[in-house]
Amino acid sequence: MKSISSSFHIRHLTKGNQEIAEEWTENLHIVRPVNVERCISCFSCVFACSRRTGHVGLGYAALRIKSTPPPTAGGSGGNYVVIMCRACKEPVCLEACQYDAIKYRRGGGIIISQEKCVGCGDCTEACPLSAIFVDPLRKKAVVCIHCGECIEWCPHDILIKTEVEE
Amino acid sequence: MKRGQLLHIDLSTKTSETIERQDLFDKYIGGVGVASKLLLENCPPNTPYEDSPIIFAIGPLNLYYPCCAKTVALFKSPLTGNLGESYAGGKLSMAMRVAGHDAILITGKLDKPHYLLIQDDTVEFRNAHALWGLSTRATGRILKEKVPGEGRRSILRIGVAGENQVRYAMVVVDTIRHFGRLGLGCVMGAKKLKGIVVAGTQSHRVPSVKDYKTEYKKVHELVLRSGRMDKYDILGTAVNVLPLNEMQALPTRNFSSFAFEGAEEISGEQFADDVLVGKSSCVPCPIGCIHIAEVRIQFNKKQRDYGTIYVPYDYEPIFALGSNLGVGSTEGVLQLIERVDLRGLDAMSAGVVLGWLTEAYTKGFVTMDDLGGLAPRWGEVDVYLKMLDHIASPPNAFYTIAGHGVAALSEKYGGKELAVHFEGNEASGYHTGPANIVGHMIGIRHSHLDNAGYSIDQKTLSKSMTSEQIGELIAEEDTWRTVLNSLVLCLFARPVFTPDVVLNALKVLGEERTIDELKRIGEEVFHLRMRFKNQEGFSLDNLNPPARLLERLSPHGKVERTMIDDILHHWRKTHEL
Repeated sequence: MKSISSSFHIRHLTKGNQEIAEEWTENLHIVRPVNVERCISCFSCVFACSRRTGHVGLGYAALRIKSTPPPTAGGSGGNYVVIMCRACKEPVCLEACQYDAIKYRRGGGIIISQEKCVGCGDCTEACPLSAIFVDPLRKKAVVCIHCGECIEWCPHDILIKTEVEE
Repeated sequence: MKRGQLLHIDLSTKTSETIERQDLFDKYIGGVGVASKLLLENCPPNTPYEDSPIIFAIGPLNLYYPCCAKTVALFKSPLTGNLGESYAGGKLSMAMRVAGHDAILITGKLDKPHYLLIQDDTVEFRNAHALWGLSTRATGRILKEKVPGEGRRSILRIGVAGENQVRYAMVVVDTIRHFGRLGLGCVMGAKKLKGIVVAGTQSHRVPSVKDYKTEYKKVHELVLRSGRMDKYDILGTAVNVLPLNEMQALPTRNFSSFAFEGAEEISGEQFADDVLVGKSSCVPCPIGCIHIAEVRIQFNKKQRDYGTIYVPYDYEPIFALGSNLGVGSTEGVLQLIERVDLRGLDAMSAGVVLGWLTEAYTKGFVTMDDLGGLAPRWGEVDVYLKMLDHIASPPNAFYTIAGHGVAALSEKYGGKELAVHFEGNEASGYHTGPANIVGHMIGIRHSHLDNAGYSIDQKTLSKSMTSEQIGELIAEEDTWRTVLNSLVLCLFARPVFTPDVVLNALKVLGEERTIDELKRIGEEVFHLRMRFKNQEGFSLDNLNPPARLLERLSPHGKVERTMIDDILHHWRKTHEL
């Protein structure tokens, strides 16, 4: 199976993403994880995010599940955590971008222009949570736009929507 | 959809290439169907296991739908000398999908220890000299830190049991899943292959996003809200302990009885209430069937010296290392599971071997001298822990044979009537009656999962069936499970993936099939594997069920040889064998 990298798809995605982002920010809410100890690392949220853009895989997904080290070395005793943008009001990633590809999102967080982004990864580096993901194939940064698509897929109700002030 | 990329890795020349084999996927669906054909193509009769190929394959639904998260491995089993077939979950099928490989064929062998790093189309042979001799846990931790691709990769590794050629050595996949049965770890060890890492970066498109989303939602709802998979989510497979014990089908003390007085203490309920600390799942699957327990071990009472271990548990290890060894505590069972996990031994074979050793010792077939000064007794966890270490790293010739399984042990030391195995594969945890015994005898890998005879036995307790009906049912199940294993979805999701759901799921991905076609392919693949088995010396005319299972009462009473032969006759007729 071949990877997807045609410019059509990128343009299509860019437009879709930004439209969705603008539409959703009208409501001014963000998505965040709660009771993350319940996470079973099933990736349902990750693939829901990817599916939203019409893809199956990880390159278009704006969140990740990571396993944390267990209290004692090695083994399977760690917890899982959800890595996603927490919608900073003063995002440091924005300042790190040398290509003017990042703009503020109303309500917190950012929107990344897929046209301007070159996938350098400076924003990921700057983000203390490493919650921006560069698709190595397309060389584009992907970040959560808090659209809420992932929420309904979590089998343990870990992802919730919260109203925020402007 | 375009698919059928085969990654061929030759260990002897340290080279790799990708080959287009869409023909195989069109003809055999994927998974075990394609792998069976590749095995026949690449493993001539009587190939020694160390020279046999290892084939990993996924199917058309993997990563596209919930619960389609398994990978099949085919190889020559060092334990039975015949077909080796094993399935693992974890993230392997995801990693193969995003790396773009529908199948991976590994041939040849290395002269020095290495691990493979597969990233999309590139394959690196990395030196594993410093990892040789390390536990599966240490190896996993080191590889995790050393290789790229976190979150989009899968990490396979073997323990010292695989390095030391224990014939039932297993492969750990992503820390909490395994290619458990029939000795894939031993084959990797023989090839000096300590680990395999698969990582990928690709994203895939579907023909219609709208149809795909609708179908995905339908499957997701069936998985989570129809109740069909609840038991796996709640207690996990450990839910089986009490019902099997109640019907007197729970193997206890080397299958000498089938009701365990300590069953309550090692029940799924007890594990969940006392020691369960979290659940996990394969990717992608919203059912948290992987249950992880915590156990606090006291190393030195005086010093107040404690350590904590985290161990995934399931029904099969609980039976094999619990009731089968007379171990009636969650703490004891968990310590034993952890040990087989670290050393890289198959929990089921290891438990049945320890059971045989204990009984053979009390009956005088083996001596304390053979056992390296150890005297096994039912329920003695500390002795069993040491014996597991000895099996994984044999201090004498006796333990080397113990690493060849109960068939080899009883061949050399006597006590065949105590050796519970089918064609060399140690029996699984069910003594439900005739369908289970026949199912294991003729099962393509002599496993309870081939055709679930134990499930037929449980149904016939309330509604009797003729031998003809039972034989036909086992044959039908062989065929349908071959279809599901060619799709490589989790058999726990069998109630969700009914023929209709399978057809629609495929259709949305652009693959039009009919039920008749799927069943025809299932039957064909069943016969392909039978061909391989016959080529390696298996014969349906010369089958021997374990004496012990005929001698001890099942829930259906004493299982008569005539009944077995009768079911067998109808099964053969159905398969035209």
